[in-house]
Amino acid sequence: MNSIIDRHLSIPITSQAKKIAKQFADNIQDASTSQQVYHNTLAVLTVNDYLAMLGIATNLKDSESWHPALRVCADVADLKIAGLGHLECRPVLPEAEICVVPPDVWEDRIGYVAVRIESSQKTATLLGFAQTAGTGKLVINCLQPLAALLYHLDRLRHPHLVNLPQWFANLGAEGWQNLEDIINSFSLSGMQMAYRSPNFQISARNEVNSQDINSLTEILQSHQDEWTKIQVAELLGKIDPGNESAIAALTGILHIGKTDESRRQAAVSLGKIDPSNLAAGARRAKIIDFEQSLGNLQVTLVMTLIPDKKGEINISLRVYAVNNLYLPTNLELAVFDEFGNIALVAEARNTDNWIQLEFSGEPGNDFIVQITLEDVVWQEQFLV
Amino acid sequence: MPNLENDNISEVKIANFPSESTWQAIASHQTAVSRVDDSLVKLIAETCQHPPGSLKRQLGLDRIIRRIINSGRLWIENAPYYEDALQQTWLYFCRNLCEATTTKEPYNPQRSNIFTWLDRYLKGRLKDMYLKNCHEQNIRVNNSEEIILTIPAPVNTIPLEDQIRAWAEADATGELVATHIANRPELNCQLLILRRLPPKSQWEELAAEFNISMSTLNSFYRRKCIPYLQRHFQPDLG
Repeated sequence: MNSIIDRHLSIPITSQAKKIAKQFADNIQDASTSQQVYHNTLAVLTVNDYLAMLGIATNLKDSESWHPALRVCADVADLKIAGLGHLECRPVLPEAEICVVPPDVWEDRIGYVAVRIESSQKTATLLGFAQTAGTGKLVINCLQPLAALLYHLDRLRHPHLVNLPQWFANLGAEGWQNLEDIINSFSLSGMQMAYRSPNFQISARNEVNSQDINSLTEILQSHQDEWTKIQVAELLGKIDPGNESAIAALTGILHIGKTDESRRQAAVSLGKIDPSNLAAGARRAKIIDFEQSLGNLQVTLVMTLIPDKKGEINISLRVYAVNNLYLPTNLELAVFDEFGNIALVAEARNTDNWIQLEFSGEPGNDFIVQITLEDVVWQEQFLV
Repeated sequence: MPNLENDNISEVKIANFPSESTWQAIASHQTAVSRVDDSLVKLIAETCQHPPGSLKRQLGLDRIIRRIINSGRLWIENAPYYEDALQQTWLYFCRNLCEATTTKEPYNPQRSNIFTWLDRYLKGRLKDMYLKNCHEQNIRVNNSEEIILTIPAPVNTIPLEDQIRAWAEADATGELVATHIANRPELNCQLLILRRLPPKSQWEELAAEFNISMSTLNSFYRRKCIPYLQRHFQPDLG
């Protein structure tokens, strides 16, 4: 994956930064503390320069690392982000694979940036971001890209969550559409393969009427395969809302469906014709642009919610390419929990039509979905 | 042997003349470069659509800077002040790419390539710093005696560690000893501050020695003891 290197960003270390770092370090007699303070200060000032470039206001004076006594008594390398809190900027020596976060700074931090001080001391490399200190040892290759830091700071400033329970009430969210609308307006080859197949003629029609129910239930009885169940479930969702036989057939699929996919489709269809049903599901999709160095690429994120027996919501995420059968290799889909810890991750390999993640969320919890391709990172936060 | 000379010339000519595959390589390199440039122009236009300070503007700038750095096409020079000039260039770049903040006009992709625009500013700063550097060296050479005389004597000769140790040991108000972990009077701020002064005891060692969890110890130190240090010693002016 070439992106590991591309995710890093080297920032020049200015003579002013070295001067301040030396001044702070010279005030301390103990050699190892003095050295640590020197590196901490360089890391803080490098991140400060990076944020200044992007127009993010900081306040060095209010940083713990700017307090002479605190520098001696605690291993602090924080940078106060105006109005948000302290961002810890941990220095990492060249060749290190782990960024050590000392217990001194496990609390009162809005995040951690690992900064490698190159041996030339002419540049520092911003290696990545972590929202929490975890066990105090951050594996550098597993850090989130810097873009995740920018999303994180923006969320702290302007909290914005997509409210998933509203999808059950058929309320939308910005940019999220019904899957059918997206399929109709784009050529989603990979998606059509998964969600439609030419097994029987009814599937070609966009409308299904109540006369079709008998034939659909017959098909259901004679074909036990999952594809049939998925398709019948999809078609039953096109019947006029409230149709008792259709509801009964869908409830049947919900109980006999072998894979989650047929049950998921039955729940989504049930949501369309019987929204108040406790087993009803919801599905929305969003088109996401990835402007790449060698041309544009669009993907669709399909999110399906079904209530499960424990009162939690089962959430399935699928990513498809738009206008292409296959996803680009190395496209990564990840889910982070409310503390910013990575919970799940999937990566597209050659000839993947789609990638999927599935998990359960308790009402009231939130999570972040991240899709990464080359140097582009897309994130959105959701409330269960 | 005139023939040999002629042969040599023709050989030289052949060797200097790029083969067809070299031309193809050059052409495809140029195509790749111009494709990268085109995509950079598009990315700049897209980024500038978003208002300054917005997340999308920040994400766009981050990607543009990364692409420019990774292209390796920016002017490099082995000058002691190169990093200063480069950082000034990045600030100039971010502040004037979409809107003119410190210049008369913002970057105009029709007028110049982004690398040309950046290099021109970077070289300008390098020149300024070169002149300033020479000027300062001149002053230093000419006024070396005077400079030695004007070096101020250190204001405070007591190292900071010793100042903190003396303050904590004295605990004039008694507040450092009085502030302790619940039911553990021996685990007070005086002890912790002294033990965390260089050469400091590690948190793991302290936790084992006093049979208490590291997080309790560390959390207490952060919430209760650090504020005394913050209050008693003045911060630096940033």
